[in-house]
Amino acid sequence: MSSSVEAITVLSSDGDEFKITVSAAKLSKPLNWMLEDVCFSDDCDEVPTIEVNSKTLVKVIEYCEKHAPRANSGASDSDAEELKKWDIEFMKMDVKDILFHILMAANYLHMEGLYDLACQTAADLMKGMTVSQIRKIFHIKNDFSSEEQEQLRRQHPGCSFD
Amino acid sequence: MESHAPYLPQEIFTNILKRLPVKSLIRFQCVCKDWKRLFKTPFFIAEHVRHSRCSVLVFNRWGYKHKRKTLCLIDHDMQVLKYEDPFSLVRRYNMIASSSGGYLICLDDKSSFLVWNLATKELLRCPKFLAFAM
Repeated sequence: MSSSVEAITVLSSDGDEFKITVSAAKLSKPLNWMLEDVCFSDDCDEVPTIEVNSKTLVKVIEYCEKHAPRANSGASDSDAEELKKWDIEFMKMDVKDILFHILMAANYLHMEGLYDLACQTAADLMKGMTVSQIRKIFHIKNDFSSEEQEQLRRQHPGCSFD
Repeated sequence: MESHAPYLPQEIFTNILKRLPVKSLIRFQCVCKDWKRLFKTPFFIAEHVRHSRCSVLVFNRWGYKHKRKTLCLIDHDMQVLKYEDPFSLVRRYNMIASSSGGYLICLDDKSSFLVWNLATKELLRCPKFLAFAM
């Protein structure tokens, strides 16, 4: 059954309530399925929980609301260009603090556009990082023996383990 | 101030890493053994190539003065990428094919075929009699 309301209320994993318009929620496949299956009306007391923390959910909803008009109706080239600039500004965020959470949320909510954007942003940020910065951010331990490090250095003289 | 980044699953990891240029991947193979192994898997290589910007070889320049040859490629954005021949292969050779988004090129230097990976700078020499027998 299709929904008869303009916006629905969802709960974050922290238990906070958020409003999201139906057209924006449709950007997420699981939310779209839910909208098709459940009748949301003003007297409906069913509030779905999204397993994403409040801080991340605010950003995800912001992205959805911005992209929904274009996703639903298509857009001109100038709109697409404006949206691209907006995406760049939107993605200016701390990697550890929020970007990784956005990645997890976009993956969980099956949001292809946001997932691609977040992956590309993470890759662009990683380009400028040192090997030890990468290890720290991804919680990785250096498991090369000193002999293996030496061998890799010989093969690729520019290689650094720090 | 230490914030807690979530542990990303392998699938997300791979999706980020396949977007990195080869130069970064060579650097990041020193991160850990798992990453080094991952970068060599056919699956990852195929995913990376699919994401890479395609480049084509347009001309090779003979630098007899410096006894070095420079291969010039033009990429997706019409940028010219120059690769110095790291092996000082001063003999004349012809490029006969390129693949993997222009990273892998095959050269013919009369006595053998050379497969040169521009990204990793690895060179495989294949004698012609062997190549014809295949």
